[in-house]
Amino acid sequence: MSASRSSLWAELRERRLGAGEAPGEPSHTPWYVRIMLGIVGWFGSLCVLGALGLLLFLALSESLAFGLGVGAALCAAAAGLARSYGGNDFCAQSAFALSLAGQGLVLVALTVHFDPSQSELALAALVLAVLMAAAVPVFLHRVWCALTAALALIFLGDGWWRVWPPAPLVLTALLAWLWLTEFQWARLAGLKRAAGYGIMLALLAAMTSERWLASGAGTVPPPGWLLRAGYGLLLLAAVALLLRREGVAVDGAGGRLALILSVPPALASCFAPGLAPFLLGLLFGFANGDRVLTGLAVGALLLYLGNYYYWLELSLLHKSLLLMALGAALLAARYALRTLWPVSEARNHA
Amino acid sequence: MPSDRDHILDWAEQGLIADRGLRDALTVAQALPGPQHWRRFLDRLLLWLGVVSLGAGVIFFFAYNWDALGRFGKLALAQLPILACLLAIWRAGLDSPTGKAAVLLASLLVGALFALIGQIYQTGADTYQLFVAWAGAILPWTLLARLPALWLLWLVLVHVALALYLRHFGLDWGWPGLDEPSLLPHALIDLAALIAWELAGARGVRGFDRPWGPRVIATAAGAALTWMALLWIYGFGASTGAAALWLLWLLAGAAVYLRWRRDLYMLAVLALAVIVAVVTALISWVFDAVLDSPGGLMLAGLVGIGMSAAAAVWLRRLANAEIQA
Repeated sequence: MSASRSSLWAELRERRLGAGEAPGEPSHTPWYVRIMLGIVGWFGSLCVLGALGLLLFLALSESLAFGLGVGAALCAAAAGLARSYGGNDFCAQSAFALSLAGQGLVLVALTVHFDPSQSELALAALVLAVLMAAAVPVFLHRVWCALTAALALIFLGDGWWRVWPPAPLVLTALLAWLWLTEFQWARLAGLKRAAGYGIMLALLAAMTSERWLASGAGTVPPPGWLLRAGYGLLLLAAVALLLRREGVAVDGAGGRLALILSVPPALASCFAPGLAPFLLGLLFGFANGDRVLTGLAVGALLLYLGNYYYWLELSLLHKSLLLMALGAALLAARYALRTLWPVSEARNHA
Repeated sequence: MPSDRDHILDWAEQGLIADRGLRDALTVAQALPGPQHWRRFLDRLLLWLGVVSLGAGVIFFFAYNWDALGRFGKLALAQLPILACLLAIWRAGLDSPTGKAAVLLASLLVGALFALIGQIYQTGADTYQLFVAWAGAILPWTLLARLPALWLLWLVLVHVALALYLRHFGLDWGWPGLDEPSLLPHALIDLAALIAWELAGARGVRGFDRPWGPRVIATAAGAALTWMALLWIYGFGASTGAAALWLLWLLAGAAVYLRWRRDLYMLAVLALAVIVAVVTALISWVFDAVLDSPGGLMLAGLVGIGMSAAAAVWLRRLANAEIQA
């Protein structure tokens, strides 16, 4: 164990935060390697699924039980492999591919035999993804399952290519809860982190493809005023809960300043809903020391801003005025921050 | 290299951290921000978010074509923010966060100004000429600022200008991005930019020492080169020369990022390119030689999974060797 790592463990044991033997040196897998594994795992599972589909096409199309059985068996194999040998990269990768192939087979079997509506198919996909995220403890797999579960929730609308309007707000609220409570139960921290990344990616896909959705057979129903206000209120509530978590009194000077600084983006998110989840991602990415989340949120914000140009709910003039007002308000807020909370005072509190 | 935060989260997954003690453990490791960090973060967040919102708002505004405003009023409104940015740079200095944000915003606003000029005076200029002019106009600022984000913006403008130029003169066979004539120039530009960036970084030129800039460029170059290699595998849209260039990029990249400047991200990109090409070649062979072969598809899938696992093991060993060193 490296010197810094061993001293950290010793300090944790001294404070009774860690128990047991000193953990061995882990094999660290950088995040970009994990993404590479995820991309190829997804592609590999498509090939495996295609091969199984070709081999078993007749049996799958004639027997629902056979299709469901093979799919479930693949899912079970994935869970068993990951729980037994998940520390091995090859086994983790294989479990990922098996799980995707199994889930795909189950959904194909249901589609072939029942001809479900979009919402029924989405519900089945949602349940499967949630179950497999819990059963297969491979981080990238959990991100993928969270992504598919979130997309399934979004497409719970009635009719093909229709979305369920409250879905993005519900997902944003779920994100805020996940990030607020990330460290509450140590063993669940990894699951929550993976779920957070997956849901963020799903929201990014949904909120930057409205032009595509609106041009399809269905449309994105315009959010009512209740939903619009929900984004703003959610942002403010999340900031208040974060303050409480950090031990800052909401009615104190610091708390009031933080809430006042949050008002301009909260108001703007009523007219640009994507601001809420991605700003929260930026905020919690920093609060939780999660640089991947911070980077993801920055990219998501920029993509959303570019796509906002095509958002049809407001005219281009109104959108431009909104953004300029937001920009001016944020810069004014920065001036207020520098006046009311000078750098020297922050150092004193450190 | 894994941080203390990564160590603690790993230990938490293994059940070695008390269930309710994770946050305290992260606090002990100083993995969570303190008041000073929050102060700096909020300052930067409000600055950058404010600047980007303002810039986007101005661009949207001129896109709306506010006809009620006369031509000189429009031009004045487009130029005033640029002047304000230049004033901010003069007061705060180019090296300060305010100066950097201002030069980035000014560079974005120059594009809006040129679009407005083209629209008002109906110069007849083609769209690619707008982007060429934009890139040319902001080049001096880009050279002075030495801001990685600004260099990447400049590179994006060059790419957009090139793509529009190829489209205008019918040099992309009508399928932009899907054939060698439209992809090869972009790939070559990115390779040249990557080499220049790495050399500048090696010489200690300020602004080129952060790794994320070349990583973004390498990813774009790799994607274009690998796509051409895939087109060559399937036999349409790319020549053997393009495939050879892809191979050369692989070999040169491996030599540079293994020996000269160890960068695991770059090696991961190279590994992914190889895996994608090999699996694609296998699938192409399966469907050419043995139509609808389930075994062939299964083989391609398993080969892909196996290669990525092997690549991950190799990269992890390199990462661990770096940590031990």
